[in-house]
This record gives sequence, structure tokens and C-alpha cells, in this order.
Amino acid sequence: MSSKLALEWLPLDAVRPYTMNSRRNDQTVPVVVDSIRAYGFQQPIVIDRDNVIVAGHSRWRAARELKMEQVPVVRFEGTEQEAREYRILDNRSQEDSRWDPDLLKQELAELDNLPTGFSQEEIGNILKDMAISDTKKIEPTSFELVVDCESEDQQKELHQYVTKELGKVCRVLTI
Amino acid sequence: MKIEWLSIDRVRPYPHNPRKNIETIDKVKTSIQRYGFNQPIVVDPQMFIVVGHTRYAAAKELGLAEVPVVIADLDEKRARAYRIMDNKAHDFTRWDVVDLKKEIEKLPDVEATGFSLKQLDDILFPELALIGKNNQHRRQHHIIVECASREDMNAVETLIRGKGFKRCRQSWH
Repeated sequence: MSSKLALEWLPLDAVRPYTMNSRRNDQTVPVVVDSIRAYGFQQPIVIDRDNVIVAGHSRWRAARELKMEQVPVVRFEGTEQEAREYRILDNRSQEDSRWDPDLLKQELAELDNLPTGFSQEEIGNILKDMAISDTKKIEPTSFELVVDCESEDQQKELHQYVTKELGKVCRVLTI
Repeated sequence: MKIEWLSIDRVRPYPHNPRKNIETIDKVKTSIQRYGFNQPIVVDPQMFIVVGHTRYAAAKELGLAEVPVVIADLDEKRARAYRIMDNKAHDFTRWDVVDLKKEIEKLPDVEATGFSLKQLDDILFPELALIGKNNQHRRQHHIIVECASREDMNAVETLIRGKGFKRCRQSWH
């Protein structure tokens, strides 16, 4: 907890990917490239004392594609073993976060054509036939239950149950 | 880019953040306690969080007085778009289970990685493996049920929860 988190700029080539990184980011890198182009490089890469990446492999690869000469870095102060743990924990901890479909819809609806990583088709699906909330209305007229499913199979199973057994109208949304 | 240590009270969660992180806070708390605060919170010029809502919530729960902050020069709409894009980018990343297993086996304290013993069993004994089955990027699957009234919605929720679907949210407008 004593880390001062001082920012440094290092030549891109001085920063090295961790050879045993267990995250695969081939599909992530193009999104991060677009993100850096549109919104700048806002998150320093975390490196250990040997300049090996602890967090930020996708940013590093994106920076290389963008031919950035230098990248902002901060130092991880722990031991090599702690760096290994943190490398996994940092990715693991992000896995339990989820989209709120209502808020995502509201945000996407107002962002014009700014890049968000969602394709036009995905945005269309998210915005499609979802009622636009009218804040002036006092009495709500539309009631919806949003259910999260663990998999596509579960989603199909629930769709079947809701339409066949409950006789309800429902929509399928995959984000 | 500049990293500043600012009073946590100056940093403001974005009220319409579309990414929900309740279930990630404990892991991030553990991470901060064990390894320190390694990734600054990114805010817009109004001090609304763009990246780092979970770190902020974890820091609050830990009672930290100051947090490292990067103020990004983004106008409101661009901050909103970047907030989504940063999370969306993470959704494209996946584990290489073989490499993950090699890493985890080298660690004396495997649970420090955020994986539960059950999940680690699945990785260390691949015949049981559930993680990494699909090579697609992570997707969320939802069913949205149209209901006639609030009462109807409550009744439908009870039935669906009874079927084992524990994550239900009511929405009305």
C-alpha cells in the first residue's frame, strides 16, 4: 500500500510482454487501437522492475500498431510471485462485471456515432424495439422483467418456458 | 498524462454507468490490500469516473482517503463513449486455459488469483473444465419479458426465479 504510483514514459521497445501471459487478446487489440485513436492513451501500462508487463498487454500491442514511440508506465512494487498473482487476479476480477441493458441502451442512444466497441449491428439490436423512457410520464405504462441467463442454451430454455408455458411476449437480447 | 493523488471525495461515480460491478468489488479490495493501488482511476474534467468504478468502490470500502487519478481531457459525450468502450474491449479477451494452468500451478497461494478452488479444480483437471470452452468473446444472454402491470411483473418474477434464474431485474417506464 506504500506505492506512490509515479508515472514514467518509456520507449515502447523497453517494455516487454510477459511471455507466459495466459490472456489472449487478439480480438481486443483492434478495439483498443480504435479507442486510443478516438480517446487517447488514458491508462498507464503496469510493469515490474524488469519492465515486464503486469497489466496492459492489449494497450502495449495497440501502441505498437499505432507506432507510438513511448508509452506511459507505472511500476508494480511487489515480488515476481506477486506480479504473477496480480496479473491473473486483475483479469479475473473484471470477469464478474456485467452490462446493465437499460443503462447501456440509454447511453448508446445518445452517443451519435462515437466508437464504443459495439458494432452498428449490435447497437441496432440493443436499441431495437426497446421503449424509450419518457421522464415526463408519472404512471409507468410499460413493465419489463430483464432476466440474465448463463448461456445461450439457458436463454433458449427460458424463452421456451416464457412463451409456451407462461404465454408471455418476450424478447431475446444478447450483448 | 499526469497521475495525481486526490481526496476520494472529489471523485464522482457516473450515475448512469452501464457496467455493474457489485460482484467484482471484493476481488478488487483484496487486490488493493495485497498489491497496492496500481491502476489510477480515470475521470473526466467534471471528475466523473470514466474507468475505475470498481477500484473506487473498493477504495471507499477500505476507507482510503486518497486515490490516484488521471484526469482525461474528454468532453461529456466522448467520456461516455470511452466508458463503454473500455469495458467492451475487456469482453473480447479470453483465457488460454493451458497457459493459465501452467501459471496457477506455479503459485503457492492459488486463491490469490481470484479463482475459487472449484474453478481451479476445473482448470487443473481439464476433464472437468468449463472455462475456456468457447473461443468466442464473452456474451451476455438476456430474456426480456413484457408484463401487463407491476403485479403481473412480480408474479412472473417469482415463477422465473423458481426455475432457477436468480438474476432478474424489474424495469418500468
